[in-house]
Amino acid sequence: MTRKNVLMCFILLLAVCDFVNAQDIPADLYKASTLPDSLKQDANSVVRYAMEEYVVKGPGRAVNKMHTVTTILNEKDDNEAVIQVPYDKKFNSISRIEMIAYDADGKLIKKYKRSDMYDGAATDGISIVTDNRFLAARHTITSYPVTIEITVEVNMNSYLDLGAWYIQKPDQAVQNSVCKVTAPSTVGFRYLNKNTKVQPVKTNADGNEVYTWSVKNLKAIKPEEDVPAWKVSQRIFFNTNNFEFDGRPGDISSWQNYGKWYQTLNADVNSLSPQRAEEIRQMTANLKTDKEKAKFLYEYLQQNMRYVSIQLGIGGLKPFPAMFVDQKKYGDCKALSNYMGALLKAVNIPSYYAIIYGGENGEPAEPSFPSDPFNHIVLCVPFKGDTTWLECTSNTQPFGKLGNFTENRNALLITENGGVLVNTPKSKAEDNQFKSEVHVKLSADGSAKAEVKIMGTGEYRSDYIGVTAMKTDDQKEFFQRVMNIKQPSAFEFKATDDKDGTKELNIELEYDKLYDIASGNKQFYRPRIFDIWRYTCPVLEKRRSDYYFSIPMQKVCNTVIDLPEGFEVETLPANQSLKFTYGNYDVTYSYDAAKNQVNSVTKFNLNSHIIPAAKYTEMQQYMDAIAKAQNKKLVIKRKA
Amino acid sequence: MKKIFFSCCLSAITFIVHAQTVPLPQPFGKVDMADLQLKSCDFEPDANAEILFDKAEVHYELNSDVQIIENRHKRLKIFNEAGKSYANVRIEYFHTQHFEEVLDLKAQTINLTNGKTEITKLDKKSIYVEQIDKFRSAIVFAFPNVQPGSVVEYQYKWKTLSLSNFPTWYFQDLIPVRYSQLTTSIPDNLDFKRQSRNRQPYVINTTVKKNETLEGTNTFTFNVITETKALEKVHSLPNEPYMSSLYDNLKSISFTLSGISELGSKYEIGTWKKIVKYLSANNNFGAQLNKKLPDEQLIIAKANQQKNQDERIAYLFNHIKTAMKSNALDYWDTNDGVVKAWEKKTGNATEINMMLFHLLKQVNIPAYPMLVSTRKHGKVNPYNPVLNQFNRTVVYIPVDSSKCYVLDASNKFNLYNEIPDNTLNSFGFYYDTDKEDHDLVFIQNEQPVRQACFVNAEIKPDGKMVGTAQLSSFGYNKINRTTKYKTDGENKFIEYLKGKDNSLTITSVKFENTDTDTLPLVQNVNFSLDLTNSDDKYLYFKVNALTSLEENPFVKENRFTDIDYGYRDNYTISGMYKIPAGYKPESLPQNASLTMPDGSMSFKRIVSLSDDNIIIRFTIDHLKTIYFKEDYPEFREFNKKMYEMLNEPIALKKS
Repeated sequence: MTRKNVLMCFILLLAVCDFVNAQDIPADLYKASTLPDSLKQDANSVVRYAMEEYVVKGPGRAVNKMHTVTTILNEKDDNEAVIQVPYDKKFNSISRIEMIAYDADGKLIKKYKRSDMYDGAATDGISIVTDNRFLAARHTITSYPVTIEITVEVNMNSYLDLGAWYIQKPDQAVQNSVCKVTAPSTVGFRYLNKNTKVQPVKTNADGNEVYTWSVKNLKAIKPEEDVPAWKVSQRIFFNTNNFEFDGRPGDISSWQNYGKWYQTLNADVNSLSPQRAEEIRQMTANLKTDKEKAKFLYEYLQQNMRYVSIQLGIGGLKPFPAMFVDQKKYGDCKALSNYMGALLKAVNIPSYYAIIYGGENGEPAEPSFPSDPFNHIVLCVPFKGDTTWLECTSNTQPFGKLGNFTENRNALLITENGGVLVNTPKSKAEDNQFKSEVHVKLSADGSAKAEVKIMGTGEYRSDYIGVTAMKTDDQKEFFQRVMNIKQPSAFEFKATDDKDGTKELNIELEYDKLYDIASGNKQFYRPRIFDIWRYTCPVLEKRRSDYYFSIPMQKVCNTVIDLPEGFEVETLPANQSLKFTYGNYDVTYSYDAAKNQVNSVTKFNLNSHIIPAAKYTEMQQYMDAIAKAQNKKLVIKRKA
Repeated sequence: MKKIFFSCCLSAITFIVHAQTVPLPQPFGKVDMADLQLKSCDFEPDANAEILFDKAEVHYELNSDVQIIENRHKRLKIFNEAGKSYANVRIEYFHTQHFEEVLDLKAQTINLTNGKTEITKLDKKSIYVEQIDKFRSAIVFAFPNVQPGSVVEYQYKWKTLSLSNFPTWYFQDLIPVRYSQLTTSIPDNLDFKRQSRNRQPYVINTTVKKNETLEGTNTFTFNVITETKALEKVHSLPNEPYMSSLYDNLKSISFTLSGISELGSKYEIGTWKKIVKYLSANNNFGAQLNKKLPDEQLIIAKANQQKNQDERIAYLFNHIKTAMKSNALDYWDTNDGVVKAWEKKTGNATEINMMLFHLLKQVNIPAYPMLVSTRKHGKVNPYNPVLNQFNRTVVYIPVDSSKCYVLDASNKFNLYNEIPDNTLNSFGFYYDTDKEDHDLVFIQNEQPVRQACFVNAEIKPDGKMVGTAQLSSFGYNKINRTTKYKTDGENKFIEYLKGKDNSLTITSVKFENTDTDTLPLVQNVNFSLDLTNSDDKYLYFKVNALTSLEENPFVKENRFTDIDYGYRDNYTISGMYKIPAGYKPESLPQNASLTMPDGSMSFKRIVSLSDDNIIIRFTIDHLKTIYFKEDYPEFREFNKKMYEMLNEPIALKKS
């Protein structure tokens, strides 16, 4: 997952700029009083001046320079008074770093030099060890507004992607911002606009191409929730056709050529020893088809290997040798995918190492702009007419299922002929099914027993497997809270199965009193044990961006309620049939007088997990209607 | 060159202990078949991994340098896939000038393969050293060949070039520990204060005294006291709502050097009295207490114009609170010093509170500097006179036996007349800078902190409720809500009041008394609520909307730590609901009351009907601030019933 945190850190954390001497910046920009009101509106801070520069010295070698002056208006943007610059032991070094704080009048309060900064090992929360480090300092703001000037210079001696210019952060206005790239015409510099139309001025000087982008007086934009940042973030991606990483020259002018570089990188680590290869062949000798063999070996991998992330030096890009994984029984995404490829190679099944961006609703790579926006590796097995994808870091994923961590985007396959950009499968509602059967037995005193059976596939299955790693007490709390189960007096899990991609949960509940209200000869019930859908979204005047759920899904719940002897239905909740463009909710209730049972069937389908902005209000009203429908009560009464 | 001679064992003491029932630690590489075949932890069957044993032996080596050496051996069992992450090990230490070192690390995985023991040793090349920062490093490794069922073990020697850097021992972990044993050998001329956080009986608790002679230019003789303490079957410690702090609850024993007796003379730093002397003379404490602040005359003059002592305290507290901003660092002493902090308008909490102390003294208020430990930092043991128990200095002003001020001006939402809640239920240590008198006080707030909600609403026949609510938040409730309102803004505050309920619309909120410290924060809310569960026969409504009392935090069946609310509370909810014409109550909820068997918590519901109005009143009263984990079954049942009643709807029937 953390194939090259170093670069990602640069892209995500740092807007990199230029050193223009402070004298070149008008003194007014250090004063809060000169800020136009239009830029203060909705802003927690304003970039007064930003100069970001990339000076490409040659393939894989560049200098990033950043010089910014930012006025912070309130405590919500206190982080603008934090400088944190990543570097690492081998590929990126910081040659200059400084932060200066000024008061509202532009008078210097404090200067932070390199020696004042904390030098720490960076952790990504996943890896046990990496080469990544950072320098950091924080200025404590005593009164607002305050202006922070930051100057940073980073030398890169290896890169795959040059980087990107992030034009504007949420809740932040920009008064003046410039980005400049200087690159020798021989390296093949190019750029790509994302969510912006800003165009550069291009000049030539001394064999270099010089591109300059600039923006002025951008008002602050309030961010929206539940949309991935990449859908809205205004950026310009940079790259050079020729690159170098750890002394290995490469060509990324096409996906094909980039793939060739990767192929060479991995060539000496992707085979098992002849002896182990023979053992693997024997293990699968009795299996008939290649698909059966692949499935067997994938399950062998899942049962024997574990995910451990270690990212040191070129090890951030190049996998551990297949034999290392074979012996130590661990590896990261690339080591495990490479190992899986080696297992398949041993039984003559071709497969492709596939470079991808991992993360829910992650950004696909831009086909027209070969680059490396990736952070994860999976394996692709090109069975004829049946391309099979393997997520090699998971011990539980069914054979051939990727899940929402890598679906709906593209991956770069490293084939014998170089790189090929292909699409991963699209998420389908039928892949994420939740089916449940509930049987409630009511007693005349209002006490009740309920048996709940849930069968989950896809992401539901994954979630439930994740939950089973929790303590039993935590699992019970989890289901009560997430599914809105009324607190029972006894809660039992029964043995659960995980078969053929379906995880089954069996829950037994007991209640001293299940009704909401008892009144004379009547009892009022919520006519179910849990809510099939709980989400509602805020009312908005206008939604600007598409709305993203994690997954599309199909949910169904059959509930049987045995009424207590001597009781009958007084009021049955009304049937409901609700629809919106991307799904539907239906509930039907029926009373079987002979069995004295209330039967209900509830269905919820979300056919697409991406809802266009224009349909937001329709969705919001639909979900409110579901909440309302779920609130209806079942009333039973003692027979006369 | 010095040499140590061991002479005969003089005495041995064994304390009363519980009989040990689990296997004792074994040497490296020797593993019982039963442990390899173990399928789950017998006293915590849902654990993904278990520490079979964790064993350390700590002693002094008195060669050319004084060193403390710890020999550690830890063995774990991995039960399943989810437990494999416990086979990744990280050992952190302070590397600066070899202050600490980790040496001779050995590790191996032991599997049962086809009925045979298979050992996979950790490759030296797979041991990584991460330099965390200027001071700290970590040794990191992943065990090879780990499968569900694996036993993994490692041992190493930890060394420190220090007389006093004695390692704290944790008997407990985030996974269960079957057996944990610490052996310490300490020369008796080093006086260590031991702080034990453990209520579980030891299975081994022995003390052995040995005579030793150190030969050098001068030969001298001393005793070495060897103590062994062991616990077995230590349950993992979960993170629980309202637990005081992880540090208070993890079963542990820590050692603080408090005195050294040398050649007959006794040099002692380990009494509160000595601590006062130490603090008074300390550049970062005593010397900072009376630092004159530039421009202080103006502030003092203004304070002197206030009517009485209470107002003078309020004035100075609010002045410092507004003028200074905390840098969020917590130490019992100063960092930059008071004057520098004043110039920069920012400092640590201690610096800020020392300014306040100084100004209070200038207007003749009998104030004292008081060292405290914040809730997260753990509770103070009054019998353990060591400074590292504290992490902040505040100002203490006793008034009489029932009233005092504890002032912490480093949080801008604190009130001068409320003891900061993060210092409650622990000890504070204060001293009189004039007389060098000192004392420890238990900081508590016995007054219930009130929250009241008064709703006046009309139910319309079309299934809508329209009304007003007056929410009054006192004391800490006021502090919490003011913090939320001022930090997040009005829109977010409305969202907080609403929950995520789209059927509730808050049309306006007006705040009163946000800046008057002595009055409650009043939130006047106009709202309308769609009674979405209504149908053509019935209207239903709930009376806990806007109260934030919907979800019971105590649904877990087991509890491993005490519930520490910090302070008492008292919540009143009163509602008057006008019934629409053509409807009448199907039935009214019954009057009810709940009390804990020991009377420490009570809940009442009173419901009545008057003309067309349903009048309902809830009161919740906590009479204690701490509820023991032993009483959790009753506590949980109380909460379950209470939340059921709070969530109980009222039905109105169309007539």
